Amino acid sequence: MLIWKAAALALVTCVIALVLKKDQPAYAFLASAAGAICLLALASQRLSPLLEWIHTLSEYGIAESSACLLQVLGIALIGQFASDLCREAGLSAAASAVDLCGRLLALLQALPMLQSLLASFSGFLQG
Amino acid sequence: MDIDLVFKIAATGIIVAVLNQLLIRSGREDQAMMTTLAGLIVVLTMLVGQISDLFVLIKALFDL
Repeated sequence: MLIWKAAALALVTCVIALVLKKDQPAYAFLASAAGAICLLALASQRLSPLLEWIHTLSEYGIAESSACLLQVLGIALIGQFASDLCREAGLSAAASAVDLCGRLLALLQALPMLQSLLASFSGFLQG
Repeated sequence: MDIDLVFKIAATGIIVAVLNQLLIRSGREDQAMMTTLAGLIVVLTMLVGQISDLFVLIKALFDL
């Protein structure tokens, strides 16, 4: 099963990063980044059936929202990944900056959907 | 995009650590710095290739 492979990969990466941390902290960070990349690749290869399911949502008449939802998901995934890597390297300022960028871009991406939501709400209230 | 990427980086790191100690003990600190930088460049070129593959995969998945 996939979960055993992911757990083993994470464990080996932790051991290697700890071995390298004392002498060469730069390589320890690169090793942990490589491990994180492998795990993310492993996860995203198994993600496609879920995303196909999200596309089927568009049959219920909410076509543009499923595409926008997918993009917000992608932005959140990459933003979280980058900010956690920065935090793991010890750079909390860079981590919070990447987090801010991720939230900003996600909000910008979701703006048309929010617009239509507010429009429908105001329609209900006046109606 | 498999575990061998982590093992390659670990091997380079350990070799550079050993070489570093060797060169520092024999009094050549500047060459020790050079070997660390060289190892770092090798690892970075490998890692950047893998990162770009991952981002292409995610871009295709989420059609960003």
